Formats: sequence, C-alpha cells, structure tokens
Amino acid sequence: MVPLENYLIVSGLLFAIGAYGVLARRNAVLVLMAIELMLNAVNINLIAFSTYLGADRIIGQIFALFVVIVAAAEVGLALAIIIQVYRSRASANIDDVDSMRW
Amino acid sequence: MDFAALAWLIPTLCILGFVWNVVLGRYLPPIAAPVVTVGAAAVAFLLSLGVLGQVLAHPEEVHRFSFDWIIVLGRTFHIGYVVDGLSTMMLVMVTFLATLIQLYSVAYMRGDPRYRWFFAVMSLFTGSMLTLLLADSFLLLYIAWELVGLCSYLLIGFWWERRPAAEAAKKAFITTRVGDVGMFIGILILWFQTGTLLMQPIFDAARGGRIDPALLTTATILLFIGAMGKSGQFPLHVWLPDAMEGPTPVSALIHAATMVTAGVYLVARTYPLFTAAPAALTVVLVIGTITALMAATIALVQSDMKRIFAYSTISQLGYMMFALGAGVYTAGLFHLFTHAFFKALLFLGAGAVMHATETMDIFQMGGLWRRMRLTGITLGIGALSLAGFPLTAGFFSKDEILGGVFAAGEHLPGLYAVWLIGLVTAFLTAFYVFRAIFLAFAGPPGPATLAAEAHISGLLEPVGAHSHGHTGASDQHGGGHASPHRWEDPLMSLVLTVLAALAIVAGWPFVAGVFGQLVHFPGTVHEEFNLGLAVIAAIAAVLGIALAWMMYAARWLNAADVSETFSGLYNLLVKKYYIDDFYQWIVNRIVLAIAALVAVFDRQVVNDSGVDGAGKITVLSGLGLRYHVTGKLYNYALIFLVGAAIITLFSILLGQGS
Repeated sequence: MVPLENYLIVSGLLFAIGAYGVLARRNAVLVLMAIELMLNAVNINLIAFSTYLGADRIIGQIFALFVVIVAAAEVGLALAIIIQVYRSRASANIDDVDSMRW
Repeated sequence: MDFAALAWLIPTLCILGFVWNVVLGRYLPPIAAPVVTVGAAAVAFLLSLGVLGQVLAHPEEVHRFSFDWIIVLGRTFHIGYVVDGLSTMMLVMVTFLATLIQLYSVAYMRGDPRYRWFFAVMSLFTGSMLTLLLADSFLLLYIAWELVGLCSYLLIGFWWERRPAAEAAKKAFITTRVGDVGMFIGILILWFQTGTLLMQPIFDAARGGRIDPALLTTATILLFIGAMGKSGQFPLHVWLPDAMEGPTPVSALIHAATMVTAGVYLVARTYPLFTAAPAALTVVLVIGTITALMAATIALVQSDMKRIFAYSTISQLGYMMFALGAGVYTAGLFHLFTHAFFKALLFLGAGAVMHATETMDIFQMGGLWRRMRLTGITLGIGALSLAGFPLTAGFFSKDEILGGVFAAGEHLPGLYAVWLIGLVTAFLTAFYVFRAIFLAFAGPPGPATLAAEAHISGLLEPVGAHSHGHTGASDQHGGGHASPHRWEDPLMSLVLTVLAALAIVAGWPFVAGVFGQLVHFPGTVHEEFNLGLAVIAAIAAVLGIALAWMMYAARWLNAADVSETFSGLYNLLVKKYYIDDFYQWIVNRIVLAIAALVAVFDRQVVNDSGVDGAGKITVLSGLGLRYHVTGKLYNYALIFLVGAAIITLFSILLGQGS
C-alpha cells in the first residue's frame, strides 16, 4: 500500500497552493477556485485517514461527502455575489471591494 | 408657672421668626418683617423675665433638661439646656438688647431693598445666640456657635455689593473659623477623655481628677482659642474692626453686646475646667491683658467712629477676659453686662450720626452738638460710662474688676502689673472715646455736617440728586438709603434714651447685688468696694477726658503736632502694629501659594490626566487601531490562516506536554 504520509503531503501541498491562491489572486472567481482547491485538499485528507484507520471507520468518507455538498452550495452562493458585485462595479477585482474600511 | 421648663421656647420663638420671615414674609407687606422679629424678641424677653423671677427665688437651684437626640452605634448624643444664674442673666440681657436694637433697625434700615432679609437673619441670630447661652452640651454649643458665626457673616456682608463689606464678612468668618477649629479639637479631646459631650459630667470629671492633666490643660486652652476668635482677643482680633462694614445695628447687637461676648460666656460657663487647669487660666489672663492694652492704643489714632468703638470693644473684652483669668469671676461678667448696654448705646448713637451726616469720619464732622442735641447727650452718657466716670454703670463694673484684680494681687504679685495696665488702659479709653465725641460734636462744623445741614434744610434737591461726595467713610449705606430728612429720627432717639438711662443705672449697687446673687463661682474673688482704688480709677478717667478736651475741644494742644512728635509710635499704631499686614502676608505667601499648588495638581493630575485622560486613551487607541480594517478580503483571509496556524501549533505543543 501507499504510505499514509504520501496522501497527507499531497493534501498539504494542495491546501498550501489553495491558500496562496486565496491570498494572491486579484480576480474574485480565481479566489473561489482556490477555495475549492483547499476544500478538495481537505477531502483527500479525510478519505486518506478513513482508509488507513480501518475499513470499518468510514466516518471520514461521510464527512468528505458533507464537505462536497457544502462546497457546492457555497460556490453557488459566492458566484451569485460576485455577479452582483460585477454588475454594480463593472469589475471582478477584489481590490476594488474595500469600501467597508476606516 | 414653671418658666425654667419653658426656657426652650425662648430661642425657638426667634428661630420661628426667622423661618416665618423667609418663607411667608414675601407675601406680606414690608412692615411685617420687623413686627415678627421684634415681636419674637419681645416675647422672648418677657419669658426671660419670668425665668429671672423664678431663678431669683431659688438662686442655687439649677434647672437642667436634656433629651437623647442621636443614637448611633450604641452611642447616644444628648442635647439639652441649663437654666442657672449665669444663663438667666445672659438671657435677659440678650433678649432685651435684641428687642431694642431690632426696634432701632426699623428706622435705621428703612428703605433698604433687603429689609425683610435683614430682620430674618437678625431673628436667626438671636435664636442661635440664645441657644448658645442655654446649651448644656458641647454639641449644642458648637452648633449654636457656628450658627451665630454664620449670621455674623451674613449680616456683615449684608451690603455685599460693596467690595469691602464682602471682604470683611469673609475675613470675619475665616478668622473665627481658626478659633472654631481649635475649640472643636478641644471638645473632641474632652469627649475622648470622658465619653460624653454634656457639660456637667465633664466638669465633674475634671474636678474629680479623672482627666489627664496635660490633656485637660490642652483642651481648655483650645476651648479658649475658640473664645479668642469669637471675642476678638489678640491675635484673632483682626476681623472685628473690619466687621464695621455691616449695618450699624448689626455692629451694636452682634459685635458689641452679644456674639462677641459668647467667648467670655464660654470661659465663664466652662470655668470648672479652667479652675482645674490653672495654666489655661494664666493664658486667659495674659491674652486678655495684652488685648486690652493693645486695642486701646490702636483706637487712639483711628478716624472712623465705628472703628474706634470696635477697638474699644476688643479692649473691653480684654478686660473681661483678664478679670476671669485673675479669678475675678463676678466682676468680669458684670462688666460684660454693663458694657453691653453702653457699647450698644455708643454704636447706635454712631448710627444716628451716620444717618444724619452720611459719614463716619470724625474729622469730617464737627459742630453736631447744636444740631443733634439728644444724640449728643446720649452718646456723651455712653462715653462717660465707657470711660468709667463716677456713678455710671461702667464705673462700677470696671472698678469691681480693677479692685478685684488688685486684691487678688496679694496671692499673685504679677496681678499688680495687670492692675496697672488696666488703669492705664482706662485712661486711654477715656481719652479716645472723648476724642471721638469732641471731634464729632464740638468745634466748628466740618464738611459732612455742612452738607447734611444743606440737605436737611432743603437747599439741595431731595432724594434723587443725592450726590455729595462720600468722604471715604467705611460703612456707607449700601442700597436704597433715602437721604436724611431730619437730624434725629424719633424711634432711634427713643432707643438711645432708654439705653442711656441703663448705661447709668445698670451698674448701681442694687443691680450689682442681684447680679452677684445670680452669677458667682465658688472660690473666686468677690471684693468689697474699695474707695481708694475707685478714686484712682476715677482720676484716670477724668484725666483722660481732660486731655481729650484739651486737644480736641479747646484745641490748646495741637493733635497734629503730637502725632509728629511721636511719629514712630503713631505710624505703628495707624498700621495696627502691622498685624493685619502680617496676616495678609501669610495669606498671600503661604496660603495662596499652597492653594496654587493644589489647584495645579487638581487641574493637571486629577482633571487632565485622570478624568480627561481616561477618555483620551480610549479615543487615541481607537484612532490607532482602526487601520487594521482595510476592507480588503485577502488581508482578512491572511489573518484567518495565520490564526488557525497558531492555534494548531499551540494545541500540538500543549498536547505533547500532557
């Protein structure tokens, strides 16, 4: 079998890449994609643990299912917000959305 | 009828008079105010006479009433009153004079916009003074003591729009406050030593030696310090001359006859403490003597008639004090009694002169004899009594003191020196009072007299154009005083006449006999009439009058030359021994300096840093911290991630530890 650590490293790397994307991307849709990446990394993590802790511990896979559902709902909601922002400001650049500040 | 049991009514009536005047008086015509005040005082006087009659029947019986006032933490504070010979005598004197002087004020204060308030405070004063006299507990005494001080402040500053009057009221209150603090500490010491504030138990404890001697002496001296403040003894005398800024009836009642005698009364009332602490009695003696002489010398060079009388009051109070200090109890208090009458007479007479001439500067007067004969006669009688001219009241009382002091000199030779000082002071007294009388009444008419004459005979226009220059006199009428329409007001003259009669008769042997029955203290000097000493005192008085006549009536000696010759001494006296200047220096350099420091502390530390500071810290930190709200999503996201990482790290580290 593939050692557990391999899966964990992959998920960690994916998570880091996703985090980078959230922090460094200007376009809101790209930020969303990065968030998706982070969520998927978490999924990998969960399922890896579920497999390696014994086949009777499927709780990880169920949790991963929930994450997928939530991700889908969240993306729908987020895209709706982005479309509204785009319509009022003609830009999807998150730097422009900073009026709630000091 | 048990008048003694009703004695509480006497002060209460006057207090009610005050309340009535303040609360209801505004809805009544102005004349109602004096009716209430004089009425209350008159009824109080009648009740006092009743008490007098009852006490004379059994002079040794002391009536005492007390009740529990405050009960707190297992301690009970009683207040009550005591009716014995001393308090009875004082009651009669105070109520009588209060009635007369308040009656006089009806005429004197006519036209003043605050007429009603004047009579209200007069009633409050009378009530407080009477409470003071009846108090048998130091607590009640202190309360009444402070109240009379308050009334004095209110009445001295009655015309407070005038700067000097406001300053004088402040000075009076603060100076007597210094004395009051001393008295309060003395009372506290006595309380701590005996556990009670009632006078009789404290006296018994003192007599029984149950109080530590050093503390007893200290407490008694402290009580005397309070008396010094109220009775204008050196060095707390500085407020009395300035107090002449108040209306003349106030000067007569409060600063001649009643309030200032409260100090002497205190010494007399607490005499058991003084006899148990002889050192304190010596202090009284020394201070009294110094005061008597010092004030008489200052009075020699004053030009304001009321100030002359004020210094005279201080000097005569000194007489009373040194009499008590020498153990001449009855005579000292008898002098208090007679002095009240002739001093009040002198002040009221001065008020009549003021009323007519609008000035108190004796150098601006002159020639008043032809124009104000009755006032002249009554003032003359008062002056004779003050000087101790034979057969006047003052003669008998002053003589008893001097005789008593001389006799007591057998046991204490130092008292001969006191006697001599008393004699010299008597000479000076006669001189300065007749100096004032002669300068005002004899000789050619001065500017004020002529101006008044023109006014009264109608050569100048009446009330409106009241513009002749005020000659720098110190207690001009403040508001609303109508210009004089005549030389002598009938009501004022009536009061003056009554007082003049008393100034002669109140000292005669039958009065003195009754007095002696009421007021005595076991073990004190009670001397028989000594003709030799009486003659010596009479000669001193006559010499004083003669010298004054030579210098100011007949003008054989020129006063200006005399003051040139003794210019060093003259300046010292005019500057009142620099005592006032000294106190002012202390106030400016020490008191105000400390006050400035405290003010700076209060403003900068307490207010700016403390109160404002708390607010400013909040605002400034807010202004600093607000920059973290950038509005940019990725900043917030970063903080999430960093925070999550830190928490994870911590939980791993802490998890490894356990």
